Amino acid sequence: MNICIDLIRLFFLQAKIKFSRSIMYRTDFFLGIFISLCFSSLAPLFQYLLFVKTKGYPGWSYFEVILFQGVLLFWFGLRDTLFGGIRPLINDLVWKGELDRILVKPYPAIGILLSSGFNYYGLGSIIAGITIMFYATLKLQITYSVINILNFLLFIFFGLILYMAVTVIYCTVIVIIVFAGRTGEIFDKLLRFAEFPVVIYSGIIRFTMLTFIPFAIWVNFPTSALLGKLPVTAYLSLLFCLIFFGLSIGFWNLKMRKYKSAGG
Amino acid sequence: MKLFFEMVRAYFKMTFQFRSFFMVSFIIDPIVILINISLFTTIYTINNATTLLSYTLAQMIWYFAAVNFVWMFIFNHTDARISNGILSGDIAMYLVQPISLLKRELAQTLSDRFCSIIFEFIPCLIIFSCIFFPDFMSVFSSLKFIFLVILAFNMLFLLNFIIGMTSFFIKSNLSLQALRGILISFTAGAFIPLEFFPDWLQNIFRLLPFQYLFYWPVQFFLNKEITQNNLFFLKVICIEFGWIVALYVFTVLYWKAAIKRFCSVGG
Repeated sequence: MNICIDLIRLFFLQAKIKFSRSIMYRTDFFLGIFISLCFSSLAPLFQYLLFVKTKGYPGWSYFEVILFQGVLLFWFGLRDTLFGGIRPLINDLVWKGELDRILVKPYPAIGILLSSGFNYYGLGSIIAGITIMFYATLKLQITYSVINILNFLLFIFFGLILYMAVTVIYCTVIVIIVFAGRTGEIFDKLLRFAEFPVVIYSGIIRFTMLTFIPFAIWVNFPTSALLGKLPVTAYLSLLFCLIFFGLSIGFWNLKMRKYKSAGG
Repeated sequence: MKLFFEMVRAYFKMTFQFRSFFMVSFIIDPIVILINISLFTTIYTINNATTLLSYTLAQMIWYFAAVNFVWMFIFNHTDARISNGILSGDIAMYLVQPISLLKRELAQTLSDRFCSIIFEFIPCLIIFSCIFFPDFMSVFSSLKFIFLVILAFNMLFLLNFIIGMTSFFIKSNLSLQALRGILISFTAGAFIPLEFFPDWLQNIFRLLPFQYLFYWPVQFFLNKEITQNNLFFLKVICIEFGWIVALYVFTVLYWKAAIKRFCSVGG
């Protein structure tokens, strides 16, 4: 528990340093946020255009889809802000053979990596996501109960745990293959399944997204929580998030026992 | 000319060593087609339609696959390479070589694309066809697609070279590269078919040259009704050729201004 608290403190310390460094170049800072927002907005915009020209998704009204896009943008921003810096960091450390200096530190190496992920680029998407969610809420004329909000926060929290698990697996793969190449692209394409309501999938894909690898926890379930449409079975995905996280840490530890320094 | 082909051959040998880099597309691109199959099958079912915005289900699914194929033919890093060359000082060496920077970059881009066609396009076309067979395709539509995409390659190369030359003035052009990416995604139909945009926005996009990078080659790939008219095909070729000539003339004139501002950093 003390280690977790220390790693969270380390995260905030690193975030403060990175933020201070970035804000020195103000034009680059704001331009970076703007460009990141533009790229993050592509997925929600794609779905919006699709919805406007067709009848959209079964069981989703126009403003519910807008709310979905807001949560999607918010999610993109949150994960990029908290963990966006990890991939370039691990790619660089492994390629140059500098991962060793992380391994000798007094905290678990994967903990240090996960706490080094702050990236200010995601801030624009967080603000845009919250704005769109607020707009959709006004148009839907719904009032969120305490339960709805608590469920929303619960699924966002466990969504972050699942994303950390995916990031740990990515770090482990990079340690194995050394040269990152297009590995990030493979992960990004797999994560794209979570950008759409699960209702569009059928069969084994839908089942997997709701259970074993619950990608639906990132956007689907938080949105359903706000709309008060959360199925009881959604809580099962919380357990699978923890299991997935545990397995990813086990995978990392297994690889670290056989680690040989590369590069340098 | 002989020097140019020798450079293409040399770069091809270098790029060939990293063929596994291209072959990762076998894993990545089928994921996209699986998502699109689920998404558009649901949308067409809920709309109870066989065509939406003049696309059949097969054409809509294959639209995004065809955009990927166009990228495999035309993608290049020319703007980033020139900027990196300025920042590292390497470009000073390139300028004293007996081949112009334009031809050098063209040679490197051609070799990258040859590798991409061999290790990405052909295998992905076979894999995608096994997942969802393109019943709309014909031999003529494929040949027209290949011809148009070769012209699109020239257009994007010249465009990226022009953006690359801005680094002679501003050194790092990262933000311009990002803006170019976003602009092309929207206006060229790379992000979503242009028919999904509001009519007033489509009219603006049709005035720009970017639709000839993706939208029109993909339309010919999908063998849409309008593309079966040979006169229309000639019209598209002429317009695309016109844009290439205009971009080339601009490149030559811009180069004369840019080289006067040359200042190599680093080295």
